[in-house]
Amino acid sequence: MNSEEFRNIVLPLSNKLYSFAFRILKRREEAEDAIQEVFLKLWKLRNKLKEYRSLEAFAMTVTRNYCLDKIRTTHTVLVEDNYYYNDPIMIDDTEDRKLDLKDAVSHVKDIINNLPEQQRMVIHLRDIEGNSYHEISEIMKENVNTLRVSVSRARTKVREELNKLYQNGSKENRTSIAKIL
Amino acid sequence: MDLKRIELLLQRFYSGESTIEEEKELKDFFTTNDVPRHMWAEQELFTYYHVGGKDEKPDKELEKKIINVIKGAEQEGAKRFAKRKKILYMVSSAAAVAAILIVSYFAFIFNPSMQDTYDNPEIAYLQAKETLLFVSSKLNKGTEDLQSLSKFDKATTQLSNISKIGYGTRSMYAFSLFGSGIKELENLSRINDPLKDDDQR
Repeated sequence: MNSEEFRNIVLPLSNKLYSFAFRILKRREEAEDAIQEVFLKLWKLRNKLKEYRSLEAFAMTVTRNYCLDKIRTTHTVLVEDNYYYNDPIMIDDTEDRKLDLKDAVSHVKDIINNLPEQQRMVIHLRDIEGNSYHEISEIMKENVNTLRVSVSRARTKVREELNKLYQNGSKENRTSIAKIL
Repeated sequence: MDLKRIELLLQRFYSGESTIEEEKELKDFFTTNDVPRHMWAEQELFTYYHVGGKDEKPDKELEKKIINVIKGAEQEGAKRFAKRKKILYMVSSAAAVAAILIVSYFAFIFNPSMQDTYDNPEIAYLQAKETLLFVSSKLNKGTEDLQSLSKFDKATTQLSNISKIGYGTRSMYAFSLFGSGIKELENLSRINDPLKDDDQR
């Protein structure tokens, strides 16, 4: 693969690889550094890239491995963003619900980012990128059934956490209304 | 939208059995409808899935940065290759020198011919003499060629002929004898006054 092919075929994957790296590393600069390293690796392998059935799956696997390595070798304890627990979703029973997109994004993002790595990755690949289980299996090097279990656990966990927020919100709301009355 | 169907799809969704199409159906439902309160969590979730995944956009310069990193690595690689070549030259020349030293060491120090192979010293002496004579004869053969060098000498002796010019000049000395001849002739003039001589006597 020459440099022009590399530019046209491999480089456009950068956005997808970046958002996957960001999902694993949770930090902008680290994800950007990781992507640069990943592309350097892909560049060095450019003559073998055509041998892979799915270039994208291979690139995703390289990204996954690099990011997990990075977490393990640098022993970076990623700060868990727990603040959503202190930020309940306020619900006014009397008004019609209007979902604020910004809130939705930050709540669900925080919850997903607090999942274990494996679940974070499968949720990203399945629910956000919309990959088939077969594709995810190729990226993660796991069998489809294991992945389904991971996905199921992650989704259930997210629902649990979200429901907690709603309950807290409505409870707090009620007590505050009670106080006013 | 049939809520029962949505409930069923959610069940499949949470157990990890739903297909991509079913998940798309859920996304569409939750992002376009008002939903009952017990489904608000799902509404938030699917709204995030619908818009969210794309919330983390990389730096617009990321592609440029990637290209620069690759270019930098390529240049460094070329430099390193040149350096490695240089080092390889140095190492191989050093190795060659070492090899020569080692080989000569073994050749001279551990030369098996240095061992004494003769029991009788006289025979050994004769053998050595014969060998040396043989060597010297060969040497002489070699020096024979050097004899043509003696032609140099011939040339220089011919140069000595120049000194014969000296002979010539020496022969001219005879002319000076003329002078002395004339002086002698002066004595003849004395013939005219022999008496004077007598007077002085």
